[in-house]
Amino acid sequence: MKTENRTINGVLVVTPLEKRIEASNATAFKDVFIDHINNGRCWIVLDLSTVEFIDSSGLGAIISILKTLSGRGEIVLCAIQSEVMNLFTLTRMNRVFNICQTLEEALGIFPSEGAR
Amino acid sequence: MKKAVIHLESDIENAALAGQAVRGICYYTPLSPFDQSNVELAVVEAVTNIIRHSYGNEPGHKIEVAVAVFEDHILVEIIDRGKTLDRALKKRLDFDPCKVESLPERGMGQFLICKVMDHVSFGRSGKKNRLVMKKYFPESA
Repeated sequence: MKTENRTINGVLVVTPLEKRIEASNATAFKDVFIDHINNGRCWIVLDLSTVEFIDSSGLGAIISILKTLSGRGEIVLCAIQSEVMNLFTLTRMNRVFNICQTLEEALGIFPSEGAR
Repeated sequence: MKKAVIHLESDIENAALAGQAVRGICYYTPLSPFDQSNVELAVVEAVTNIIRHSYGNEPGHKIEVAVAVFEDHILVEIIDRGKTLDRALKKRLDFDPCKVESLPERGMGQFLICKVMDHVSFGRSGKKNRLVMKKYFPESA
């Protein structure tokens, strides 16, 4: 799974470069994040602006990342397209994840670097 | 009634292919883009379940996706010759949004199929598993 990774104010911003996250690439997608978390990158924004389709395997991967981070950091999702947002609503995961309209809004959720 | 049949092999990448092909047919029906997306999701989930569970991720097995367009609905029938599975429809997703450990990482596919389609049924006939899903068109169409 190819992703674009940036660091902004100490927060890792990951943007998938594939339009779909589903059974065929969900494990590779999750592994990208597990590698980052194991390297101490635990404050993460997942920018989904490029993603047009997620199935339950892709959603399961995102949930797994949240569980891995639990107590160690935080993941915030942003720029979710409407059809993908539908999946979060159907499964009630919109009540579980921090979801922001924009990357700027997502970055504003994290405490300042000194407070982490 | 218009009908198309898509033949697939049990390669996990074919789940997306099936979903996109059925969505392409939905484009020529009165379904909204939102509902077209939901039908695509249901087909991807169904084919993924067949490959993973009926065929145990083994390549080379056959899956048939038949799509029929009627006056007021679209019908998707998916047939495989894999294992007979527990086909009890999962209509609920139980977890506590406040407890991370309770969140499901798998087992959501059947719930989603039931949630986005108007009718879902499973059957076994001889060596064939048969999943039937219907989505009705908006009444104003």
